[in-house]
Amino acid sequence: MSHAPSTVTIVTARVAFVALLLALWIIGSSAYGSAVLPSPLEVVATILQGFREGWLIHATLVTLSEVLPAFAIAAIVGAGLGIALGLARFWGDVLEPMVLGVYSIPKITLYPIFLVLFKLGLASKVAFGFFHGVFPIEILTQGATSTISPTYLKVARTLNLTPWQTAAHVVIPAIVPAMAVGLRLAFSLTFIGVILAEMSASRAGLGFLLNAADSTFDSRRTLAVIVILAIIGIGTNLVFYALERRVSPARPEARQATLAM
Amino acid sequence: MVSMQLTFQRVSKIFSNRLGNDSVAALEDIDLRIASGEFVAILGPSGCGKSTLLEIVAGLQAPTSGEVLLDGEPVHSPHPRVSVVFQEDSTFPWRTVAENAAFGLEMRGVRKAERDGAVAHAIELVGLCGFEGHYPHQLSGGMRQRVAIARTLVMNPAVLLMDEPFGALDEQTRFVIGEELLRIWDATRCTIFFVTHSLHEAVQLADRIVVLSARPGRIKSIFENRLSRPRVEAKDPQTYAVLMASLREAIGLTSAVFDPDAPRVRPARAEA
Ligand SMILES: Nc1ncnc2c1ncn2[C@@H]1O[C@H](COP(=O)(O)OP(=O)(O)O)[C@@H](O)[C@H]1O
Ligand SMILES: [Mg+2]
Repeated sequence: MSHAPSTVTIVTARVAFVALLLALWIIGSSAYGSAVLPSPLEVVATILQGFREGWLIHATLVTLSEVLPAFAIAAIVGAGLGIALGLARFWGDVLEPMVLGVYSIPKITLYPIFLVLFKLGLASKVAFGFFHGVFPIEILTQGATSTISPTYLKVARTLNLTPWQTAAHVVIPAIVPAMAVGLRLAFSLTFIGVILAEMSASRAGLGFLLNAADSTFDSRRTLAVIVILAIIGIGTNLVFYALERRVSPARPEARQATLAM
Repeated sequence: MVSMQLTFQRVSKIFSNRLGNDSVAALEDIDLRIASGEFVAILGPSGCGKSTLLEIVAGLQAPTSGEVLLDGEPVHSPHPRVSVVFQEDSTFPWRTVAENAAFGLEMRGVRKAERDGAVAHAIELVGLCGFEGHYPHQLSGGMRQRVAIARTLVMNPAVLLMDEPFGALDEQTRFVIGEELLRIWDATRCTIFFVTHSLHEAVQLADRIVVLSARPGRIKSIFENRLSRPRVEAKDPQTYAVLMASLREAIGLTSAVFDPDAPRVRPARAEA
């Protein structure tokens, strides 16, 4: 039996690892020159400048205003569809290959269709972000719903529960851990979808900024935007991980689903 | 009225697939009368239709022909005074021990203040005092089955159906929890219909042991168990041995194949 490393050890190792990456970054930046790879300090300075001048804040707000509704719709539609198709075996079986098929397409290739349908502004980003993020939560919710323990459903039947009681007190609590994993993935993918859409065709937002900086070889701005993207991504992931831990009181299967994705 | 009597009238069950070209006869002509407050074990090899029979009593499945009567009333759907303990873990991992035990009453709309007493009593009966706030994942398999039993006890069942409830437990735990079940039965006096494939468990627990044949399940023989409780072999080795031997014979299989609990004869090892 080996002892699990303590939290302190893990955090120390993490800090050391980040320090190592920063050191490599600094070495790389002095080796290639700051025009190619600006140093961390220069990037921080650019971020502060972007906040002072407003362009970085504006772009971040534009992106978030697209991501949040896209995520909300993806979560509601994905979870709702997942439960419905998980319970209605027939339709679940009918649609499953199609869902998985569309899921496996690189979705950005379909973005031009969204542009035609929803024009260049907010609507096309929300719609594409939704489309990019809805699949994992639908697939995970459907999977959890259709594989719910038959014994749980028998317990519900022996107690003569109404369909509503069965849904509210047996089915939904049983799939909450899988749904929490689905929500985290849905947020990540919605966010990525919106950024991809902004990079492809847009007039504002972090993706737009990234594209503009790239085309003028402004690597400081590029890295400044990437740092903001990373902060949003990591921050939201931490929140969703905390949510997952709350809803799955040490249920091993939920942990495994987390790792598998 | 504390408990109810159970009558099986020529109960048969045939499973057929949708095309009707492939059917499995699971049960054939089960005729049996179980008295109110009796503890009956249904003993038979795996696949002989024990769970099917139990689910028919529970109202979860309909017989192909014949009827099950509860105090003379035919069973068509789950009866509110009949509770089931399943073989698989059926505790809800999102509910604590107390919340699991309270589930049935909660679903019936009994208010918390009114159900608390019943829940505390059930938890005490299954010996889980002090674990009320624990979640199932913090408990052993045996404790989780106690939670499942507590969940049925709060409903004050007239008939308790148990489908190999201790099948996943080790022999020692199984014996201990069996004795506790007898104590609970003593306290509640409900009718218990106990499915098992273990001879030892059937002998330890039941007043009557109904032996089913291999598929299709038919009643092969019924044994009265007159051993006094607790039924440990040492107390009355003669009667115990005779009962075991006749059960083994009824089953028509060698003990090693049929009963995984039976002590095996190990080849003697040379000591250094
Ligand atoms: N829903 C079903 N459809 C088809 N066959 C079934 C079904 N349920 C059980 N059976 C078959 O009926 C027989 C009896 O099953 P079961 O009652 O589970 O046996 P036991 O509990 O004694 O092991 C088995 O052969 C099983 O394969
Ligand atoms: Mg069975």
